[in-house]
Amino acid sequence: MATSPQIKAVKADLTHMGKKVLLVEGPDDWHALSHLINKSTGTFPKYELGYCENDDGVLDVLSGMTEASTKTQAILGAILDADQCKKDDAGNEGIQSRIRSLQGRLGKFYAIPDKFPDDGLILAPTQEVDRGRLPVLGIWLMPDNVRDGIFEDLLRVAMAPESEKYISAVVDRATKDGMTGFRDVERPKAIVKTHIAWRDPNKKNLGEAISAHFDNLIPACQPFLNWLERLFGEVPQP
Amino acid sequence: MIPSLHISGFKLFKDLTIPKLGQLNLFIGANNTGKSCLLEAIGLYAGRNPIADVLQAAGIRAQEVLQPWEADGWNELGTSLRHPVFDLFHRDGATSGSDLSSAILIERIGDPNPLTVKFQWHDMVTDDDGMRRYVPALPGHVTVDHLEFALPVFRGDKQVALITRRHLPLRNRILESERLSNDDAVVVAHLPACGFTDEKAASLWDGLIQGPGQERVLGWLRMLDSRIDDLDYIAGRLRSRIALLKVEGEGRIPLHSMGDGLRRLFHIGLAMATASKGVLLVDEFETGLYWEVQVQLWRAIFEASQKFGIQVFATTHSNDCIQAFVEAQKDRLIPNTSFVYRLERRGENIHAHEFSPQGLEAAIRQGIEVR
Repeated sequence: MATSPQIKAVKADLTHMGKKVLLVEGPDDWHALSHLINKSTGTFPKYELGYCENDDGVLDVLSGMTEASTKTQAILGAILDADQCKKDDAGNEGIQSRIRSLQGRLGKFYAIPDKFPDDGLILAPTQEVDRGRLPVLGIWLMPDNVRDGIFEDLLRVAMAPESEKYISAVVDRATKDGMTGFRDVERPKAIVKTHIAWRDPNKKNLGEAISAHFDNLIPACQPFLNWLERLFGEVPQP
Repeated sequence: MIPSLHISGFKLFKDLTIPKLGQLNLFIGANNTGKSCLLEAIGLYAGRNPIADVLQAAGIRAQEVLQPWEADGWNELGTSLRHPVFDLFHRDGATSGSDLSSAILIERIGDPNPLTVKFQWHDMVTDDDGMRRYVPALPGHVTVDHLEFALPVFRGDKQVALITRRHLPLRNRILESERLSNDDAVVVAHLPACGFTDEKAASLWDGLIQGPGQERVLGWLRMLDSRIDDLDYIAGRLRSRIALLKVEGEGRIPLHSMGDGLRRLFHIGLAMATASKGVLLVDEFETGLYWEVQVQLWRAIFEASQKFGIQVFATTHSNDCIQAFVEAQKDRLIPNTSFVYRLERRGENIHAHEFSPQGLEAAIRQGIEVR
């Protein structure tokens, strides 16, 4: 059963959510992830998906949860773009800036490494005393925990290669000719949304389009789906 | 200022460490995690009158402790002793009184003079000159017939008080005078959840008659009603006294008719004015107060505590109070001056969980339950 665009994305509310929660940045990501997970497993996830307005919202929920929560989840996953954050005071950008901010917010409770493993991060709280109180934490930095980028960079890999190459060239040309208004970091979004618009101009929902128009979706997302499986103990069916 | 705290053997606290304390300290936690006990321990540690503080913590009125203690119905030592002082000790401690080594310890980290309250069985002996007196009993040598207990209070190695029952009044009195030898002791104002009794409030108000203390208390009241001009006590029935507020445009109105919030503010104001260079303990801070008033009130407390050198310890059950504290803290976030802790049960132990200001703010923004 596929999710439909009528389904409203669920805002993250850790106090009232269940034992296993996956946080995403916004409603778009919520729909896209719902479809991706649904397509890979053929079923709804056994964990709850919640969005948090933006990347700062995810960080806020994570640090609020670790610092303050009395009753918290057993497993908490978070998906963050590696490339949507500002240059930090130490001059870090992209994924390095993202990792530094995670270390700043969560380092007291979780040993966030300087370099993320490419198959995604899964950590128990560092101190024994926090293990009953705090969840096992999973963090995936889009697209692949190594490169700067966003969720749409993962979807670009899921596009047919010739299509991705063609549309990228078109988008770049339009940019060069002054026909576009997006920021550099939004280029992957422009490519992915152009791809969707050309395939099916009526699709408004990124989630639905993901199911329909990304031929290599499951193979391209396999490392990510494996991380979800390891984190939440689900078995995706490719 | 008390910079840190370690408590063991006291009531719910088997072993509790609070590594950092500041000018303002807010404690939250579920029921039965020891919030009120913590305030009692701080009062006992910081204050000038360990005997009164210990008795108060045990819920014993001074006259009651002098009553004969009939431990009726017990045959075997320690099986059914139910004197309230046993409740002072952690359950692992002297619940039966048979463990002579049990003790309450309250200290700051690295304290050269920790406060200890011990439990001793005393046995009656007759001197050569025929005088009977009680001496600490040796373990295993308690004579059931003449059994009595005492709670000696120490600062470091020095005994500063001995809490006993009527058999040792003289010795008690002598030792009580020595309590003044504790140089670190400060004024402690302890405002309970239910507020001061009317009698206590009146006597605190009287005590502020010299100097600007009374005007400062009126300042607190004006947070709720700017028309308040003055406060007077008049004689009421049955020797009680009634606080009358002079309110602009309304004449004189009894304080008790103006709502719980104003009464609470009056008591907080009295306690603050009394506790200069000392310690203020407020149990269930939020009692009777709306959220907006609490923000304003915490701001004023942040300011006044700095100005008058008062170290504040408050407990709360209320999210409003936590939010108000955080809101007030934002304006004057000086590192290590204000702390929020949650007392949590972890098995046998109570643990103090420290919130970082940023983490607590994030949790409040995201609606995460922190209590």
